[in-house]
Amino acid sequence: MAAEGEHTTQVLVGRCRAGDAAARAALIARIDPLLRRFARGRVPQLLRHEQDTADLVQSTWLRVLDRLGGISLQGPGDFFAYLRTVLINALREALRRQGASPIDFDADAESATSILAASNVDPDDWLAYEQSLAAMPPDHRVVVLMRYEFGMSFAEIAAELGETPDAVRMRMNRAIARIAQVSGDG
Amino acid sequence: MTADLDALLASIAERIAAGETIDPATFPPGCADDPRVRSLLRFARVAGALASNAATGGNPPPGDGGRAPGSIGPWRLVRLLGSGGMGEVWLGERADGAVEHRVAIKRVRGAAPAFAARLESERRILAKLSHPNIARFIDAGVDATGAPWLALDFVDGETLADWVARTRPGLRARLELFRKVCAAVEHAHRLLVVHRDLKPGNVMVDAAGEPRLLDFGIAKLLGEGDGTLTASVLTPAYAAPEQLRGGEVSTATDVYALGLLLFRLLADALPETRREANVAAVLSRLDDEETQRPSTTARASGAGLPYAPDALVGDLDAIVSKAIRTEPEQRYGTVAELAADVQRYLEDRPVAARPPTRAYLASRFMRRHRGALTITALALLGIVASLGIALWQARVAADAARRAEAEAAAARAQAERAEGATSFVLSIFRQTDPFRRDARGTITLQQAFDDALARVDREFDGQPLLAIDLNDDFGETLVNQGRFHEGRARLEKALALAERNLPPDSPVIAETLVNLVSLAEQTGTLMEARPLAERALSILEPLRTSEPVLLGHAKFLRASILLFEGKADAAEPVARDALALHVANLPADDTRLPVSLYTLGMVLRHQRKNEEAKPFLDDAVRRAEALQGGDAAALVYMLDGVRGNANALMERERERVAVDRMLEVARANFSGDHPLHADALVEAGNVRLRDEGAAEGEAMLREAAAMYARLDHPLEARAWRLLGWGNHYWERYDRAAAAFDEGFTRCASIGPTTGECMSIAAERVATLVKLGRAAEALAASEALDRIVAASGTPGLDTTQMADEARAEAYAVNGRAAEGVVLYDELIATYSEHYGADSNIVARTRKRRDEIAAMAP
Repeated sequence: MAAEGEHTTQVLVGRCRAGDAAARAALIARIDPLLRRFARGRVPQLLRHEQDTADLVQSTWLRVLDRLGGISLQGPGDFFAYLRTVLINALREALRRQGASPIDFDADAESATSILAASNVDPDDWLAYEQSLAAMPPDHRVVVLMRYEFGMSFAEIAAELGETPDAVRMRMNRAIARIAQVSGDG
Repeated sequence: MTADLDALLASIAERIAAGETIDPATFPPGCADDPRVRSLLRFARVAGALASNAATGGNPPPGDGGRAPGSIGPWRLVRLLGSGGMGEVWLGERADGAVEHRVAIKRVRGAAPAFAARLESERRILAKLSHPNIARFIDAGVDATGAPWLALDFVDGETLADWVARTRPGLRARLELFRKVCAAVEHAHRLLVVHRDLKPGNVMVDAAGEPRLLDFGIAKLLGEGDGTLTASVLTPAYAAPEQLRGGEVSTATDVYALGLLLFRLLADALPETRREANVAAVLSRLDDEETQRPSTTARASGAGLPYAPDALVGDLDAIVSKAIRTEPEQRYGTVAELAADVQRYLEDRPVAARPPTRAYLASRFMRRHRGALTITALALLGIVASLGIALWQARVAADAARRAEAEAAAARAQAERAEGATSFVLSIFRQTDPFRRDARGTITLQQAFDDALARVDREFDGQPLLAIDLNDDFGETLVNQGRFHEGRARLEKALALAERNLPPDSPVIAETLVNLVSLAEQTGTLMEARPLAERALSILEPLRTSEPVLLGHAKFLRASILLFEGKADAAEPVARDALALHVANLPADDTRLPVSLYTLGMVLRHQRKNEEAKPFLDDAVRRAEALQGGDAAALVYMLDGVRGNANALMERERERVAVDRMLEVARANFSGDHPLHADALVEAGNVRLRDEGAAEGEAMLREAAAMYARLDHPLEARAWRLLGWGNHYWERYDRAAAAFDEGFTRCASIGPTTGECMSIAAERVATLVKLGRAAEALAASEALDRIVAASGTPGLDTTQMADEARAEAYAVNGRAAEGVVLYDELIATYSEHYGADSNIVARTRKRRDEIAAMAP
């Protein structure tokens, strides 16, 4: 298990595709807490309870593992971008099923169809954030996602990307500084 | 300006990346409106929200469009502190803002009747409790959906485990914190509440380092149903064997969990047998549990503790081990007893968890009186240590004899006071009393006794005076049977009944108080019983003529307390008065008399008034022999008292006679392997070796060492030390070195930091110096230093002892100048502590000058 933990997610995904059950367990152990953090950070108003988060993460896993063989992974961070897409889709679906949910969710047509903003964030801020993200080059976007949406430390990100933590920090600085430049240019 | 703005942008980007909060108010004027700055701030706000949502479990701040549950009763819910399958805990504030008060609010989530019931039970239990180390119950109610909620004091802190990991407290701080947790649990037990889920996660430590016990969710009121819990509610890592096996839960269950908590605190890890999270795995290894020791775990985990794992060897290992016995009745009888043992450890007093052997007690005594411990003063050590031991023996002997005699007294009092029903019940249990049992005694009588015990509660409800008598007498008998916990409960019940039904100055109350204090003396909690003793005395002093014997007992107990407090001078007149009362009022053939004579003799010895002590000790032995026969077991203690007295008075012949008699009585009563037999062998061997250099003495000491080893008894070290010392005394340094080497090796398992073993390590240096084995002496001196450091409590004399050994080792290695430097430091220290003209300073100065003369 400790040995598995030293492999990057990319390696684990490759092994899963080859049918390695241990790698699959290691992948889930590695990613599951990240998925939970992602879900809580994104839509706290929806996931007030651990059980709701657990359900959401569970359904995400089913989808991810189901399609693991078919997804295209070019770079070391691509899997996280893919996870983000699947999770957001799962969240949208959960929102649609809100009526059936036992939780007390204030139905809000706009939030259900928009980009899934955390309710404690100004929608304009959120829109700007999504736009910035979309405008970033992929190698910048992936560190921002890992850092802010999956809540990973520089060290964790560095391990995934095969870099040093300081290199990740520098890249993060550049990615954020570039947000200012893009908006300045526009 | 552009350059400044670029610098600002870069700085903002960097700070966002580092996760810092950005405050636009700190920007230069006008900058905050720059579109690039604004877009960075937008990004920062989103990133910050994502991070804080993820960290707080995804709960929006208050006032967020009503999506938060809002308020409950008078409380506004601020944020979710935690949640489980069925419930959640919120931080709450007073909604009206009238009072600044924060609470933790527990509430049920959804329909969870089981959890609702737990909450209800916790509310009932907490409402009974009031203790500074228990999170207070504040408020409770039912919400709009009919679900119960409960508000407790919010403890702004961290769990015990986090606190330890963050602050890395020292051994003493850990133990002191543990005592506070014990105090909280003890408070609950007094109110018949068993916590049942004690673990580091349920102890919060606040900013001031004060622990607070939480979560009485599965606590139980004793006597109510639901004695067992399904395993799913338990925390397997801390559950007692009886909980895991679905057995009956009692206060002993919490004692067990506290034992594991202490284990975790001391070793920074749980026993190996407790590292699996599931019940089955823990159950499968229960049998190995008793073999787990914090010191072993601490060594293995290499956790970077701020103290040496060796510091746990001995007392602390023993305390934990006694708390986590598989059988509940073998654990500490109460949490108070566990806490008292920890306290005794902190005060360098003998702990109850270890067999009260003389060597062990000597080591405790030495640790408390390090001032007397120096290499060349080792001859004194035997005397000093044996005083402490003898004092303890005095108490033990007094207890043993008093136990036997209290029987007779109780029976007499009983005959006078009780009639009819009382006599009937007494007749049932008499056979179960070990001191009264005759040839007919069988095991079924124990059952009869227990039946009678149950009948006391049923049949004497309307007769409080009889109930007082019966509870008092049954309590005494239970104590005599070693059933201290039950005995205490009976005595406390007798006291409560007496207080309700009798005037406050009734001698009946005083008698029960005396019994409780005597029990405390036997269980090592004498100091806690001090107020009871004071109360008994205040009742009995005016009854000097009508209750002289009882007053005498109370006064002896008072003398014991004074000795414990180190007030030997004050103890003497009290003990003399007690003896006078007994001499004047007890018949000459009463077996309590020798005990009283002996007790006064030992009080005098404690003051080093050995000449005065002598007639009392001799008289005690004479009378005990006449009344109880020459082989009475209690004579072992009394003869040891005489032996120590003769030793102090340098009366070699009298000492020899006492020692031989002691061995004779010990052999008659404890013929096989027994600590008292070994003790007697050590004394007899020591006298023979010391006075005659006799081979027989060496053989006896070796026999004693072997017996102790078979008994796994720490006093083994004392046998080796005396064997080495005796040979050193006769200048047979080779034999001495061999004995010290063997003892030193054995000490690795006995506990290198115990007093006897530290002495061996020190004397080994002195012997090697005498032999001129210079390099070995220096190495032995370095080993001694390591042991002193590992002992964790290098005090005045252990440090000085090690320095003196080092100075001698330097001298024999031709490094006299370095030795002189150490001796100069020693002289300064001793002068400060003992006065410049004390013997020890004179002796040290003489030795310093001798060594100085060796310098080139």
